[in-house]
Amino acid sequence: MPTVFFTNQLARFIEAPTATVAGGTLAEALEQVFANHPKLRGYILDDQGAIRQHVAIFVDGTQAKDRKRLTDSVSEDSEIHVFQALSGG
Amino acid sequence: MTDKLFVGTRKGLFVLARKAAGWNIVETRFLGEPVSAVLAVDDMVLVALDLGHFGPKVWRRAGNDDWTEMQAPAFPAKPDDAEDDPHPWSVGRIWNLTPGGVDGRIWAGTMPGGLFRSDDNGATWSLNEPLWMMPDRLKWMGVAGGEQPGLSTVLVDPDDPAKLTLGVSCAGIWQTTDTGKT
Repeated sequence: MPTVFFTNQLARFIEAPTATVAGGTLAEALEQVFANHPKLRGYILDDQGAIRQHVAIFVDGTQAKDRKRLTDSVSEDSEIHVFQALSGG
Repeated sequence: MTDKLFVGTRKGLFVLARKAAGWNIVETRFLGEPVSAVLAVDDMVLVALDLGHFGPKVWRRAGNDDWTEMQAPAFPAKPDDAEDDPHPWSVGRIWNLTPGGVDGRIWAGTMPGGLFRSDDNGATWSLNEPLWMMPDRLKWMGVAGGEQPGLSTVLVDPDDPAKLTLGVSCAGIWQTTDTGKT
């Protein structure tokens, strides 16, 4: 089953433990996490459900391509990493 | 006379108390985080954070309770016929928190120009749709330091809580006399 890891930066604000979830897409995997941690959704996704502008999500080392609908595929043994992006100049 | 000050800064919330020898910092919270708005009403304190990467957040403390994260203002799902809207349907920053003149009511002005209302002391919020759906809103512009319009000021008539005057950068001054219905 896919495993979702969150940047430790989130622990300053909210509980975001590593989670093993079901799901064939990034959206399905994250929804399972948010079901147990509803407030975490607003930290990762914007009001329309897209990945926040300065959040980066990698599936097995490749950055998620569909930032709006999160349709990127995940497999049984995928590792999903949620980071804060480096921003600014 | 005020004996306590709540100061929101780009690096956290500072609470100052007046003592015999002058003002002293008696509490700090959210250190290192940008505090975009603070509201203190009686023994309740409401704080808006602008976390940048992780979006706007609202935290509340009542009396001696611990700080608790509330639901942040958020836009409803963007309808399909709103594709020509130049502004995102997602709150970027909570610019102000203003008492509504009625028990429990608080107004929040946000970037990109949405006005939100709470009737439960900031626990939950709803968008003022008449203002947001107004066709003229599509012409609103952003300001220096922000690409989106900012609803920077909400003034509530002290004699009539239904009458609000709003300042929007850069979109002028707007007024309602029926609690935002028109």
